[in-house]
Amino acid sequence: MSPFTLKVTIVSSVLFLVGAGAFAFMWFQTQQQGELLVAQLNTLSEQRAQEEAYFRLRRVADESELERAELSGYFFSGESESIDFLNTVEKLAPESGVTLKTSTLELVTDTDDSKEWVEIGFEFDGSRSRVQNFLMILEELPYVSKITTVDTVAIDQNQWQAKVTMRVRVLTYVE
Amino acid sequence: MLNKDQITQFAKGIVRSQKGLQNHQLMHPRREWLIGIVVALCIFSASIVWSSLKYFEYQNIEQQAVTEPEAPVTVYRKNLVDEALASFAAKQARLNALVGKNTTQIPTVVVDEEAQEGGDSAEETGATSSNPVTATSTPPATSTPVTVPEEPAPKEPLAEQTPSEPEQTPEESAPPDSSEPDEELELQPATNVF
Repeated sequence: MSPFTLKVTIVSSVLFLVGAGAFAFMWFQTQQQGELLVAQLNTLSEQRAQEEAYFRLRRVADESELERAELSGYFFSGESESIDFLNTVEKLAPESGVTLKTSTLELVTDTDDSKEWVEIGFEFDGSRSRVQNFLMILEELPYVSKITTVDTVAIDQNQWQAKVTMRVRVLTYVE
Repeated sequence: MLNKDQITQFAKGIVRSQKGLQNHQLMHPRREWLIGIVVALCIFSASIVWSSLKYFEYQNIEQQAVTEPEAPVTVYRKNLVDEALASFAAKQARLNALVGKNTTQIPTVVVDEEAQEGGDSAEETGATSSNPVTATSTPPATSTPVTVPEEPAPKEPLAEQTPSEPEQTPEESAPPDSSEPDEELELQPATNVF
């Protein structure tokens, strides 16, 4: 092998190695940048999705603000709000012809669903029809409520007494 | 002297001896150049194909990445809310009817019959009765019309006592009170849970 041939062979080999190295480097960079691009695109799409969800939620919240406010009015926001409720009931009692006494008022937690209720006990007396009517009034109060116990006793021929325990739901939000 | 075997072996050696370099073993610069060009073109073409595939792959990734992750669906059950509001409106209307009606009339059937006979005037006047619930911090009254006719306020029957029974109030003169004082009321605890 002549020196010229040997020289050309060596130069060709070096050039081939350089070219192969450059090709490998570019291939590696392409793969790496591709993965980076995918990650960035995923992040961008997640951000877009979150923005879209946020705007959608905000639109729903704005559109339903009045309805939610009205619905929340049917709940107690806390135990202190029961004072207004009691004032309402105590105002309704004389108008219905019964004598009302509030016996208990406490915050209880339902054992079944672990939700908070304000439990209120009422004792009222009057004629039978008025006691019945006031019971129905308690049932129809526009609150998220339930009457848990009703105990009616005839004191005499014209006088009846009822002991009612009712619960009004306290509004709590689940996060 | 060479014998026959030696001559044969010598002849075989001549036959099997190298005849020189074959044609393909000789260097042909044009051929080697062409082979180099072809190999380079193959590599170049493979690169083009691979680059194109990658290009189209990454070109579609953006669309896939945008469309694949779905935004969390915001559920607002408007129908359920409307039903709840309607339910509470109905309760409010029933409460208004109960507060405004005469307490001596308990059966609702009788009330409905009287409503048909009484006409619309009684309903209109009854619907305007004050609502103690809405007067406080409870939610505002809804626009649902009152379906149960309103009767005079509970205080009014006191003035309508008959002369024959001056000591009895109207509600005390109701048949259930006087006839069955010991009867147990068949009232079930109402559960109005939203």
